[in-house]
Amino acid sequence: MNTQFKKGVLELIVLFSVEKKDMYGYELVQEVSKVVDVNEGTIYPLLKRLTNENYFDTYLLESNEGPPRKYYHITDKGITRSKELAELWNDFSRQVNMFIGGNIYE
Amino acid sequence: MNKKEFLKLLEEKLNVLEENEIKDILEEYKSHIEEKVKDGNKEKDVIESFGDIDELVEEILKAYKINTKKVNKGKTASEYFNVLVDEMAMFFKRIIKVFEGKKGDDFARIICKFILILILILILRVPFDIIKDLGVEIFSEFPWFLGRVISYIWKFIIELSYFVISILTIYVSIKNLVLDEEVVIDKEEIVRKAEEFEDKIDSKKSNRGERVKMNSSDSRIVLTPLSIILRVFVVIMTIPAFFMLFGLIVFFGIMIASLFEGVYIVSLFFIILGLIMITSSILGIIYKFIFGKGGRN
Repeated sequence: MNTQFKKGVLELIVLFSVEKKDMYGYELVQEVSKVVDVNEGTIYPLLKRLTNENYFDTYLLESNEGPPRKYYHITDKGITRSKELAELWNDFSRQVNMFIGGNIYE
Repeated sequence: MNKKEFLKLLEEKLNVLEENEIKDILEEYKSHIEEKVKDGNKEKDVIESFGDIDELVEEILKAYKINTKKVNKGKTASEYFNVLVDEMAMFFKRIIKVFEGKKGDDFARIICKFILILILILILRVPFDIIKDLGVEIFSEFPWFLGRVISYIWKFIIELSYFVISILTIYVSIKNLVLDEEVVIDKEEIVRKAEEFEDKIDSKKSNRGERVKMNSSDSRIVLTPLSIILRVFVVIMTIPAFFMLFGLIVFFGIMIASLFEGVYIVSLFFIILGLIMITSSILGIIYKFIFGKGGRN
């Protein structure tokens, strides 16, 4: 799959996952790799970017095993962004589906 | 590449970022690797799955809106200049940081090393002068002003290359001195980590821990007599090398004295210089061998 395309979709999936529930880095990576086949190393830069752009907040929480984990929490700005992206995706996929289905133009 | 190496490399490549940001990123990757290993993956495989580290660094820096292409492959001269200035600033910052955390002893040690390097550079002046004079001598045989022009250019090239080499030597050696200190800290950390790890094994699986410990002590017993014999042998071997080095240095002194007297035997001079270098590097290797092993046992 085209990497640029993948990145856009990846952002949507990450935003959606965190919107459902606060997650820590590794948990999120696992969640995302269930949906798309992606180099897991590249998810952390994305998380960093989304945090820098204020779509996510972070906080530390003690864990049963090992050091405290950094959890990601979606902000209002992030929710707006995720809605925006979802809309874009829906439009896009609808058009592609229609085109592939070929019903409308024939 | 193991976890330690990967994190170290990542840290170096991210050095344009602020320290707490670097720490934050390293922490994420560290815990990712640890979780993956806990799930039964091999450390090496996990790190390989990250792909090319430069691409990864590019991705991370993009998250801060830093264009790595511009940083690494600046097209105009001014961009190159900026990169150079940045690098120099980082370099001095690191040196100052290292000095800040130093006690008097360490400080004196580093100064001594630095002075030694300066002396070495001064000695390096001698062959350069010889080459320069040799060229001037040859070019003076050329007809009228041509010889003079060429000999001026020749002098300029030689002086310039000496200057560049000196600056580079100073730069590299300072960098090494700084790095040296960092490596020491690193080693201590590794040892500490290893001890922690051993403790964990001990507390969780005492049987297994004991077996591991027994194995390692066994190998130590086997190693010690062998290494002692080896070391004695090597020491005996070094004695002639020491004499050779001593003789060569004396001869070198005579050569320099004769140079001032006006005797030119350039080829012999270089042969002696080369031999001194070879012998001293061999001695250096042997020294490292003895003391390297000595430190471990």
